[in-house]
Amino acid sequence: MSHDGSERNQRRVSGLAAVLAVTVALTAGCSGASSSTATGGPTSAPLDTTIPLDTLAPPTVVDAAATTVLAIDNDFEPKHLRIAAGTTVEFKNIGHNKHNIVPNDPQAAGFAVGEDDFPTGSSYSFTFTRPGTYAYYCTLHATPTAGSMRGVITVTK
Amino acid sequence: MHTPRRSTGLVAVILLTVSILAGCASSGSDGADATSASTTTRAGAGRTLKVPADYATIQDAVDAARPGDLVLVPAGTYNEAVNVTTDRIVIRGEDRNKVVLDGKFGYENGIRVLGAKGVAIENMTARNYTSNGFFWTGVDGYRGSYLTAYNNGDYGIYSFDSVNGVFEHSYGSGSPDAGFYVGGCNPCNVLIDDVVAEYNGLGYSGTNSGGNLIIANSTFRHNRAGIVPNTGSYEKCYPERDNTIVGNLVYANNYDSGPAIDNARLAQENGILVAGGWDNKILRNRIDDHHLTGIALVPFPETDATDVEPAKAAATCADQPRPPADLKVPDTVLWSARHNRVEGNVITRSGLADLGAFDQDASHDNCFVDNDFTSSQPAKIETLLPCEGTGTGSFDDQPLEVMKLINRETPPSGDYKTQPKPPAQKNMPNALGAKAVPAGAPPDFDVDAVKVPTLPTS
Repeated sequence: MSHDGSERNQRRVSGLAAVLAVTVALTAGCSGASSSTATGGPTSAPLDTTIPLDTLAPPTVVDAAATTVLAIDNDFEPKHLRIAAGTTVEFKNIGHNKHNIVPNDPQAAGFAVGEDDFPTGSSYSFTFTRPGTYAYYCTLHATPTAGSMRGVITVTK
Repeated sequence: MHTPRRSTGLVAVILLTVSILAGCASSGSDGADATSASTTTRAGAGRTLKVPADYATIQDAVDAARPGDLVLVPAGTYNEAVNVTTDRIVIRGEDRNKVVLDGKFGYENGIRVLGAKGVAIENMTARNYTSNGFFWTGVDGYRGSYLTAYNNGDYGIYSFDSVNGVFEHSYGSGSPDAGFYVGGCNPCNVLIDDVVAEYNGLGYSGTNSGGNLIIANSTFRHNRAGIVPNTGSYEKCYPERDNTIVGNLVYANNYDSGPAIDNARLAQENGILVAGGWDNKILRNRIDDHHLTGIALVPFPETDATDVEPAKAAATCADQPRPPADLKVPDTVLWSARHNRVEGNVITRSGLADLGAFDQDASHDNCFVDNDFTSSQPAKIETLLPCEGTGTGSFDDQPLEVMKLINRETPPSGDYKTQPKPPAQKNMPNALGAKAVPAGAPPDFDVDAVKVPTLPTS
């Protein structure tokens, strides 16, 4: 197995922290938010068998170089995304709880972020270069087969 | 500022996964003082699976259980993180105070029920988990009875995206978020009855949850804030709505050195704070000794929101539309408290106001009636916002000093790991012999029969 999950373009971005805004008249307290980017995919597409695709909502089809998946409490939006190979997906944690992203198939190399690197307000980006079906979940709120916080990204040629 | 460290992050994820698997598969126990016989028996419709007599760990027994079975756990300390995916099983400790699941600040959840219907957990303690003591997610039918959860990193006793539930005769303390939490459901059909929450960030918190959600006959004390239903687009099912909060004892929620997430610091020193919730009924609670307000209805300002306040709430969580992709969302979305009814409460010794409402006008349709109180902001709140007829007066007459709630320095979170150990809690009656009854819909609850509780004498 090989992958080209080399880290690139890590950068810091400033942003509003989770909550603690105030009233209409007040500003939210600013604190750190981070963004990291990776790229890659397995040599053979990880065909997940734990989430029957026909049980998911119809995929959100994106025809663009980049798109976003939100990590909310406790779910991913959209849950089912269809993109073309080469698309960069920005996973943005806008929840208040801790979240992480772990692929069901451990061969989906490079596609993962732990909760310490994915705090509220931060982003993690991954460029899916290889076609396949990437099922993933948050270990804190789901397992590969159960719980609300699971998602699927279908990458087409 | 957070510094991304992807490579170490991956290692962390791998270690995390390994630790979860290890926790699920090979956790140890020291249940040496077990009193159970070492045979698997049949009682009623299901079997009784005994730990450690028949199964070395709770997880092993849970994995072997079939719907209708009882997993019976004797006294001991169990270093496990148990996942449950089998419908309609009952997991019961023989002694609430001596059956202790201990995460040792390494495991995430004491017992986590994922998608399994009708799972009941009874008569045990979970402590020292990095996330939650007891956690149900994505289930239809659940019950936690005679549970103690303390010094857990997020919530004590927690349900999410789940319906038809009961939390009863239980205790939650020392969690930075909430001792008890119900989130992301509507209609929830949940009864929280006879629970105690103390030394938490929030005694009770529920984001975007409601629809026959009743919080009754319970005690919320010594938290940063007592009961805080709230709204935000960072979870599904907004706005929070249709809770009935009745007959609770809510006092001295001024624990400013306690563990607290940011929202708890924002809400601290208030008894019952409805933050952007709709259609709630706050009835006949006894509320005493808060540095700010006894009961207040306030907006919740959300930054980085993904949607704006709807004109009308969706009928159910499942009906809620996704915001259009081209929606322009303001930097701060203000979720208003609307259509809430505050009736028959007794409120004393509030530093700012016994009753408060931050309303720009009466169109928010909140109302106050028959409360026993001394102070309010705005003044004469029951005249200004009556539940019958048209109000008179002005919102400008002593308006709620909302800035005092929000624009203030609050102490940082205390360490959840070092919060007070609770005293022994009441055991489930006849834990060894009671029939195992899986969870179903909550029982009918007579809200009208609940009276204002009395304050403790000490």
